[in-house]
Amino acid sequence: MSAQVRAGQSIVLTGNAGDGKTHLLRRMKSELEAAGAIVVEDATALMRAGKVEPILDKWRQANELKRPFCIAANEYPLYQLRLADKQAPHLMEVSRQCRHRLAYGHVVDDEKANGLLVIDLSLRNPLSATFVDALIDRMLADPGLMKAISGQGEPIARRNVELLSLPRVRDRLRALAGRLVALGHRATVRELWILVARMVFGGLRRGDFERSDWYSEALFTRDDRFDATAALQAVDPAASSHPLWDSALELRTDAVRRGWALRAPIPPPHPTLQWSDFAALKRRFYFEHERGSEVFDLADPDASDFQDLLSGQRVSGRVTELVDAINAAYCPVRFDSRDQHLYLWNGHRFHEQPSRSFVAGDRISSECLHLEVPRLPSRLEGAFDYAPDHVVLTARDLPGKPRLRIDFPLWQTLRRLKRGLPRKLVPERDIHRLDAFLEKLGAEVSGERRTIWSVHLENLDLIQVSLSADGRRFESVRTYA
Amino acid sequence: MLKPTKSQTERMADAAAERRVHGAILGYQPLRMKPVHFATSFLLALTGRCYRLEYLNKASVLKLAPKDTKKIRDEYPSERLHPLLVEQGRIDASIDLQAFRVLRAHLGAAYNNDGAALAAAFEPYTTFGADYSAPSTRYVSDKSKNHGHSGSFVMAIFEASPVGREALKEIRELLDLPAPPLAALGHPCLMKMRNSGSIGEMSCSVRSMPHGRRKSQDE
Repeated sequence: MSAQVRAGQSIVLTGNAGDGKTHLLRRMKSELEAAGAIVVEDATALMRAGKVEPILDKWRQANELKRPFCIAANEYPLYQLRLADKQAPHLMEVSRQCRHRLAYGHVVDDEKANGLLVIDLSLRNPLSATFVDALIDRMLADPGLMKAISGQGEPIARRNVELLSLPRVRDRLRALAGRLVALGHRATVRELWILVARMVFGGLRRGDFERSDWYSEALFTRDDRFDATAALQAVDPAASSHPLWDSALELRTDAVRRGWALRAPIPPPHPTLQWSDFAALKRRFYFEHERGSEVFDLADPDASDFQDLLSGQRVSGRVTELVDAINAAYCPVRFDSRDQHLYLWNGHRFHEQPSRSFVAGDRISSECLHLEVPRLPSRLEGAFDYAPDHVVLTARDLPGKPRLRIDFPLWQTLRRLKRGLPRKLVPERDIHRLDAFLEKLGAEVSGERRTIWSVHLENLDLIQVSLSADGRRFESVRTYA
Repeated sequence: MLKPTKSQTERMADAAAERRVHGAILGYQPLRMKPVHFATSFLLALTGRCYRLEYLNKASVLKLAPKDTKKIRDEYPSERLHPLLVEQGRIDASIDLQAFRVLRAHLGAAYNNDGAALAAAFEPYTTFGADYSAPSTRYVSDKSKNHGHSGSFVMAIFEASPVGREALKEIRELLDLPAPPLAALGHPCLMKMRNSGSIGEMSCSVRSMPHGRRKSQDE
């Protein structure tokens, strides 16, 4: 940021509440002002009765003085600024960059900045491995905490800090964060900070290191004020079934008596494990046992496959898989070329119930579709680590480049469709997205429609109908077995 | 277990409650009108045109056993309709009866919005209505019976204001967009005029509709 300001660029920091915009500008204020910038740490604080005029005035002032302008603004105040003066060049540039926060494919000239940079911190996922590590390191190195745990006054924090400092535990935390990112979740910096603090201090009870004070229990305790705690339920090791390890933990076999990073958790006094005891033990097993990562071995591979896709691994064959799955959403009948062409299915009914059939008059070869992973535009190179949470399936050679954004929920739906999920069980949100994509493709593809494919959803049959050149005669009807 | 039956008083109370809910939420009583009925009525009012759609009706409404009368031979069953359409040049002779039956099932699924809105509309049958899942204005007939001219009423409201007229203009532009593949599938079934190669049509006079076309109101 400093380098950009010294080069004369203004900076607009935006994002969600808790992403760290204001915190960042406050920390950087003196440095940015020394570089010549006028700094507004919080746009909302400068507004008067919901009006953005004070901000516009201050920005105009900076422009007249030829000084960079740095501001932190939530999405809505930024939107109001853009609306307030649509003709101002600097606000037009803000709008342009807001419309293209991510880039796909090759770097193009349009990605350069014109006098200012919009940095959207909502694209930065604090759940990335490097950020989680750095945040935990920062907390554990806090002088106040170090002093507190060096005495006898904070036994819980002392035990948790000891465990959280173990390389294996940190490794497993990073992997867990990676699973959350692959599932499409993110957390704000504020949420993450609170979660890590709870992992250190546990249940804030004095006395012995009770189970409720374990860092692993604090992490998975649900708190409806924080979305991240709901997301964590999806990656809870206790909820991931593994018959062999579950049995070993319950029977306390030799395999689980050895291999712990520090020491095995104290077993409860009951002869058999109650669920809450078992869950707590299994979570510690995941984080601290040498084979703890195996608890997820039998989990749904969709998440790990999606993670591979996001990281560019095993991309080959994915397009045909996706095409097959999209076709399956409309045509449950399996036929040979279902993965070779994306059929532009169309259904129509004046009724709240779904169509009884789908018809396609055009199709696009899978070879004309490409998978692209998003990246930051070149103007933001080095600004922060960006971990993609979606891919796009795009027909980049068509005008308008129609694209389908595939995040983890849609990916999972497509994988399930390929495995035979009926259309009526597909979430409506995903159906609408697929419909919109096919409609955009259809708008760019103009065929003569002499061949029509029709799938009857009640009879579960697919026919290919050929029409004469003038469209007035059925020439042939072929039924797909 | 027998389904409990309601007394007449209970049925009347249910109907009254339904009317109250419809009145409160919708502002009118739909009675037996379905969305497809309104769609037909609105498209009729918008375009002022409708089509006979005899062979679309015969192809998409399946009948097995013929219901011949002294004067009329039922053309709806597949074994009678198939040779007729071959003779008319609407289907190629290479399409056998079995393939034709399959095709009819698909036409029915595509254009029969639901069985309660589309029935056999030509002799020897009398119809309670024929409303199609119209993919274009070419698929609008005059045999819809449950619309209560609701489409004309809505048209009159649109035409009464500049904003409404602008909306109608955009609706007409939407209708002029290229038709979807559903329109191509049924095309061979659409009527031909006896003396020309163009597709037949029968104009419906808008004036015959109760709400008619009003003069636009200038501001």
